[in-house]
Amino acid sequence: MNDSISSDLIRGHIDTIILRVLMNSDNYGYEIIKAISLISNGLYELKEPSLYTSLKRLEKGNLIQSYWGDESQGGRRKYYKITKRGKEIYSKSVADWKVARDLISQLIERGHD
Amino acid sequence: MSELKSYVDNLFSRYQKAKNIDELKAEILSNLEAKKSDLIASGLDEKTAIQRAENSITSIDNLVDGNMNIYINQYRLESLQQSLLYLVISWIITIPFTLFRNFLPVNLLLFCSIIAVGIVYFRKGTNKTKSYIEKQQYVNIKHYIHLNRIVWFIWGVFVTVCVMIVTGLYFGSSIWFSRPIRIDGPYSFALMAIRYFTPFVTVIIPLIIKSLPELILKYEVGERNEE
Repeated sequence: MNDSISSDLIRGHIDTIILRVLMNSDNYGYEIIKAISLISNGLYELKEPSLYTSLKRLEKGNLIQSYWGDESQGGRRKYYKITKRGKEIYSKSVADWKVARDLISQLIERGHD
Repeated sequence: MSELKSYVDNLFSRYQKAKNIDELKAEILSNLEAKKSDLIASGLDEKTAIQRAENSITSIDNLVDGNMNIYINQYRLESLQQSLLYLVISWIITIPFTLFRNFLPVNLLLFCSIIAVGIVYFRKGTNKTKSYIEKQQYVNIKHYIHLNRIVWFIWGVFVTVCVMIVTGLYFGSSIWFSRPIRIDGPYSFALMAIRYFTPFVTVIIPLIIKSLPELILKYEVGERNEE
C-alpha cells in the first residue's frame, strides 16, 4: 500500500470512484472503503475522512441518496444509492477521464511524438 | 462496542444534540464497528482493532454541516474593525445629542465603546506572530445566520415598541393627561425627533452580526483537508 504516490493523483477522482462502487449496488461507508480496496487489489485504501467528505459532497449534489438500514445489531448503517443524475455524471466522468488519460500520457511520457 | 461509542461521543463533544449531528454520529459509529469486526475477523486482536478503527478518524469538524475552517484571528480582527467603524459612525451621528442632557449618555456610551473596542482591536492587530495570524478554527456559519435572524427580529420588536411608547407619550398625551403636548419651537421639536431616533441607533448591533457570515466566508481556509 503506497499511499504517498497515489493519493495526490487519485484525490480528484474519489467522487467518481465512489460512484463506480455504488453503480454495482447500494452500500454503506465501510463497505465502500473495502470495495475500493478490493478493486485496487489492496493498492489503494480510501481514508475515512475523505470518504465522508466525498459522500457529503455527492449527496449535496444529488448524485447519491442515503437511507438507513435495518440492522438489529452493531448500530444502524447508512446506505447510499446512486441517483439517475449520479449515473449520468458517472458516465460523463468516465468519458472525460479517458480523454484526459490519453492526453496526459501524451504530455508526460516520452516516445509518443 | 462501548469503547468505540465513547470514542465517537468524545469526537462530537463540542456539538449539541441535533438531528444531523446524531445521524453523522450514528453513521461514523456503525462504520467503525464494521471496521473493528472486519479487522478482528482478519486476525487482529480486539484491542489493536479498536485502536486502528479509532485512528482512522480523529476529527469530524469538517463533516458537520455549515462548519467552516477559518483563520480565526484574522476573522476576529476584521469583525472588530467593522464594529469599530459602525460605532464611530453612530457616535458621529449622535454628537448633536450632547445638546440634550438626557441623551448625552448615549453619545458618551458610544464613545466609551469606541475606546474599549479600539483597545482590543489594537492589541489583536499588533500581534504579528505567524502562528497567531494563521491559527485555524472551525466555526459554524449556520449558527451565525440563525443568530442574525433572531437578532433582527428582536431589534424590530424593540424599535417598534420604542416608537409606540414615544408616540403614545406625545400624541396620546391628551388621553393620559387630558391636555395635548405642546411643541413650542425648534428645541422641543428636536427633542421629539431625538426621542424617536435614539432607539434606531441600536441598529449597529444587528448590522455587526449581519456582517459576520460574510467575514466567515472571506476567511475560510482554502484547501479542504482531504487525503
